[in-house]
Amino acid sequence: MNAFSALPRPDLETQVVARGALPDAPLAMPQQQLERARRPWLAGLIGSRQQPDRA
Amino acid sequence: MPAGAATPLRVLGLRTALIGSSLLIGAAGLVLFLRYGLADGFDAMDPVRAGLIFISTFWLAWGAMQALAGLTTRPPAVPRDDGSPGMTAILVPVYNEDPTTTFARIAAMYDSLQATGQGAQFHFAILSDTRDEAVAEQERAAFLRLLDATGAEGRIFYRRRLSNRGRKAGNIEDFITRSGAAYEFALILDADSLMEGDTIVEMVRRMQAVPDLGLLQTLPVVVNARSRFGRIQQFSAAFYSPVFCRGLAMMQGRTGPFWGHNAVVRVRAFAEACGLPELSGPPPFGGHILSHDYVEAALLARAGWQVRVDDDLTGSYEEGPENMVLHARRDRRWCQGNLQHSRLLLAPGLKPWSRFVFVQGILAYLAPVLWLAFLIASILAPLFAPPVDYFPIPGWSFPVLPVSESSKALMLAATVLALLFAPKLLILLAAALGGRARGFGGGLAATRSVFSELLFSAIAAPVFLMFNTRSVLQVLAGVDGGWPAQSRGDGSLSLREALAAGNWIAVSGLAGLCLALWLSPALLPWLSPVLVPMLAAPLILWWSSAPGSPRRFVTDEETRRPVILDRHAGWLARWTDTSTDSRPAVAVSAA
Repeated sequence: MNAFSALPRPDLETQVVARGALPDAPLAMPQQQLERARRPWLAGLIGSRQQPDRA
Repeated sequence: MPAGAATPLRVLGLRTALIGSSLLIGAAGLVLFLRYGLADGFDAMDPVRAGLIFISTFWLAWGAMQALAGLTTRPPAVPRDDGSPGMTAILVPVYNEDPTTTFARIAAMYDSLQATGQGAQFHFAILSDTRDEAVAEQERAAFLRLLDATGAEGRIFYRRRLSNRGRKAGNIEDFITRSGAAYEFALILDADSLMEGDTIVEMVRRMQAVPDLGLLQTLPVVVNARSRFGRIQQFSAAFYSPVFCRGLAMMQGRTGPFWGHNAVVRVRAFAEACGLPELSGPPPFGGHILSHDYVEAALLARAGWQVRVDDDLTGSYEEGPENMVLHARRDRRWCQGNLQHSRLLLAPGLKPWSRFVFVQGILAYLAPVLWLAFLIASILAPLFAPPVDYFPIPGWSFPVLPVSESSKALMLAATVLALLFAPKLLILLAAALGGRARGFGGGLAATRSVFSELLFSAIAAPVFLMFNTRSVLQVLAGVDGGWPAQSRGDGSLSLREALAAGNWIAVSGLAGLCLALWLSPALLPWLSPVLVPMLAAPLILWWSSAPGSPRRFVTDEETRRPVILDRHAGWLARWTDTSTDSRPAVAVSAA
C-alpha cells in the first residue's frame, strides 16, 4: 500500500500524508483585521460589530 | 433570550456588581495604605506604592469575586438536539510530542466514540507540525500501528506540514482551508487532551441545538499527575477550578472563553471569523499571534457568534506540568502571548467584555510584578522619606511625636490574606456541606489537602513571582521566547538541575535581604514570607518535583476513575509492552 505520499496540491504547501488523505473540501478563511486602521481610535473602538472589517 | 445563555441584563448586572465590588475592595486597600504610609509624612514613593497596592488588591478581589459567583449560582439548563450528531472532525495538533502516548489517547477516544454508537459521525485528523525528523518518523510508524489496531482507515487521518507557518493556529487554519467544508463541527484538542466519547457527542448535540453557538468550551480536568507539585496542581485544578469556572460562566453572556483545546467549534463560524493576521513588527509583540485562543473567542463574538463554556460538562481531561520549572516554562509562553494582546486592546469592533478579557490576561502576568515592585518600593522608601519634624507647630516648645498607624498596615495585610485564602476555604466548606468532598477522599482528607495546598502555595508564590517577573521583563525587553515543545514525563529534578534553575532566585533573595537589613530592618518580619522561600528556591524546586504519594491530594478522578483513562492506559500498556499483541480488554468490550 502507498503509505506515504505528497499531496498533489501545487497551490498549497506540500504535505506528507500517511495512508489516506483528508477530504478535499476547501473552505475559505479570510484574514481578519485586528490592528487599528488609520482612523480615529474612538471610531475603531465603537466600529461595527456585526460586519467586522476584513483585510 | 438566546438559548443556553443568561439574559443580557442579568449578565450586565452581575458583571457590574462583581467588578464594582472588586474596585471598592481595591479602594479600601488604597485608603488603608495611605493612612499607614502618610503617617510619617509624604514622600515620593507613597503615590507609587499607593497605585501598586490599588491595582494588586483589585486583582486579588476580582479572583475572589469569581469564586463567590461560582459558589452562589447554578448552571442554567442548556438545550440539546437528540438527533444524529453532525459530521465532526476531531483535530489533534501535534508538535514533537511522544507519538506513543499521544496516539494511545486517540485510540482510547476512538473506542469511546464507537461505544456511543455514533462513531461513524466522527473523524480524527492528526495534524502534525513536528519539526524533528526522527519524531516524525515515529509518528508515521505509530499511525500505521494505530490504523492496524483499530481498523479505522478512512476515519483517522494523519498529515504533516513541511512548514509550521502560524504554529498551532496556522495548523488548524491549514486543515480548515483544505478540508473544512466536509465537516459541520470540529473538536479542537491538544496532544495531551483526552475526552470521553459521551462528552464529545453531548457537545455536538448542544451545538446543534443552538444555531448561533460558534464555540463550546469544556473545563479540562488535570489527570495522571505523579510528582508532588503535579499532584498539588491536579488537586487544586479539580477542587477549585470548577467553582471559578462556574463564576466565569455566569458572567460570560455571549462572549465566553476559548482555552485553545477541549472545545467544539462550528467550522463555518470559525472559518468566517477566525482567520488570524500576522501583527506588524517583530516578535514578541508583532508577528504570529501566540495566544490565539483568546483572540479567536473575541473574533467569534465580534462576528455575532455565541461563545460558551458549559461547566457542567464532565469527561474532559488534560495533563499538566510535573514540576515548577516546566510550569514556569509554559507560563513564559503564555506570558508573551498575553502581553502581546496589548496590541489588540483597541482592535476594531470587539465586544467590551472581550477587551476586558485581554486586560485580565495581561494583569494576570503584571500583577505579580506589581507586588514585587511594591515590596522593592517599600524597602527603598526610607531613602525618600522626609526627616521627622518633632516641632511642627511654630512657637510650641514641646515635641509632637508621630502617630503610629501600624494597625492600618495589619488591616491591609489581613485584607490581602483574606482575599487569597477565603475563596478556597469557602469552596472547601461548600464541598464538605454539599458532599462533593467525598470524591476527594472525604471531608477530612479534603480539608488536609486544602490546607497543605494553601501552605505550598504560600511557599511557592515568591518563586513563581520571580519566574513571572523574569518572563515579563524578557518580553518587555523584546526577547522572543519562541514556542518550545512541552516537555512531559516523569519531571523529577536532580538537586543540581534545581540549583541551576533556581540559583538566581536565591541570589535575588539574598540581595533583597541585605538591602532590607541596610535600609528598612523594621520591615524584615513583613518581608520574610517572601525572602525565605526565595533563598530556598532551589530546594523548593527539587523537593516539589519528587514523586508524590498517591494517598495525598486525592481527586475525584482517582476515586471514581473515568473509563477513558483506563482505555488510554490499556493502549499505552499494549504499545509500550511488545510482548503482547492483544487489544486492551476495555477496548474490546467497548468496541
